[in-house]
Amino acid sequence: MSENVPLAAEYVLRLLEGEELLDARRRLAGDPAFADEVAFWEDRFAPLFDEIADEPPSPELWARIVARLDLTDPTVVTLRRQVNRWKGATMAAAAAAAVLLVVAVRPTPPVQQPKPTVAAPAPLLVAALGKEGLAEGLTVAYRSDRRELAVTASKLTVPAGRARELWVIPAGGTPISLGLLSDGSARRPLAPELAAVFKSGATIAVSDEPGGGSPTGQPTGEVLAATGLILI
Amino acid sequence: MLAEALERVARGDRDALRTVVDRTSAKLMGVCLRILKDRDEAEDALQEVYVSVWMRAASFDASRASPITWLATVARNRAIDRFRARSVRAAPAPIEEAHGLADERADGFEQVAEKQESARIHHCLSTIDGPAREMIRAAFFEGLSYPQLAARAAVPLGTMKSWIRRGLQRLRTCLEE
Repeated sequence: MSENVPLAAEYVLRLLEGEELLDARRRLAGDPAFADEVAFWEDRFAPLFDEIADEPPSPELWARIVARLDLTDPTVVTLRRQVNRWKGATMAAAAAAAVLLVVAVRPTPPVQQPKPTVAAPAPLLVAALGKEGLAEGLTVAYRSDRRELAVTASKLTVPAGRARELWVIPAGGTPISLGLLSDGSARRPLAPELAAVFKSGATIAVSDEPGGGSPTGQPTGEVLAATGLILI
Repeated sequence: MLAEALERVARGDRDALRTVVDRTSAKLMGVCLRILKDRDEAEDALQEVYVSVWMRAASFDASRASPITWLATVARNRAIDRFRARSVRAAPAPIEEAHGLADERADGFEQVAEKQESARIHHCLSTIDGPAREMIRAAFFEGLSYPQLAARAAVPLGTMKSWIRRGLQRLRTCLEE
């Protein structure tokens, strides 16, 4: 139908916004003839892509893609290693070689169905820590819109009689315990006072403690891994 | 070969995703950079594109589209989503500048189109009015919407829509021949 023609082409070109865009998306979902017209235009405009010069991406591209995929995958693979000095007056000792990798991920929107212009998605803070001797994978994610903390650990190494305790340290503040780590995924809502600590500049760390956790409420053992949180 | 790799991606094969990345990342980076004009943002967008590909590979239908077209479309859409989500945007480049960029020829490993398909769209674009043609190209290559095109050309929104819709109808007629 000729009335499909401009709308389908406009949809493919991304000319549409607001109500017109919503209308086109509804049609795409419910009208096969419209969907065919959209496919027609995608195919016909496609040769224009060849006018765009290729650009070599960063050599880190694959590693970063893997890091993003691993954040939602319980069988996390250990990521890059960096030497880092742990600066924390209350920590017993700096970790000799802690894995520090901060990955910021925005929830991925649906593909092929352009969204109307909306406010940016909910801020997400993420830290990924994995280290030989600690865990194959450990990720901590905090969603400020839900005030929810998600911790996923795989293949934790915990010597008999010891524990692995997770901490959040506000910038310039003292560590607050988030509890003991165990394999698997756990989510918990945070009380407002604790939630307020989760922002850019805060640090997530894991320490070695006696079984049952620190007896003092502050870290007593070696820092096994530490990383900063970045708000996106 | 890409279609086969995407099929394996749909079954959760990460090596297959790597194959797709290796073969197409230069092309898709070009697309992201063209729309976003900022390398760091384009790199972020590119990662998001392949995460999308990972999650949506099962929805790719090889009988309806070519793999590289699908991938380039995913990249263009993701770049435009990010472009439109920016709260502060640089002023759109004047049309003369856009011409310069558009005339670059890709030197890519993975071309989208056969020469005759390419000739067809270029021929048909040449049969429509100059302004409509330039606006359609600006929409494609820069991700500009109707309101943005109208602002750039300093014409009412309704005028821009009429120009482009007439152009698209004529384009359609030509493409059917």
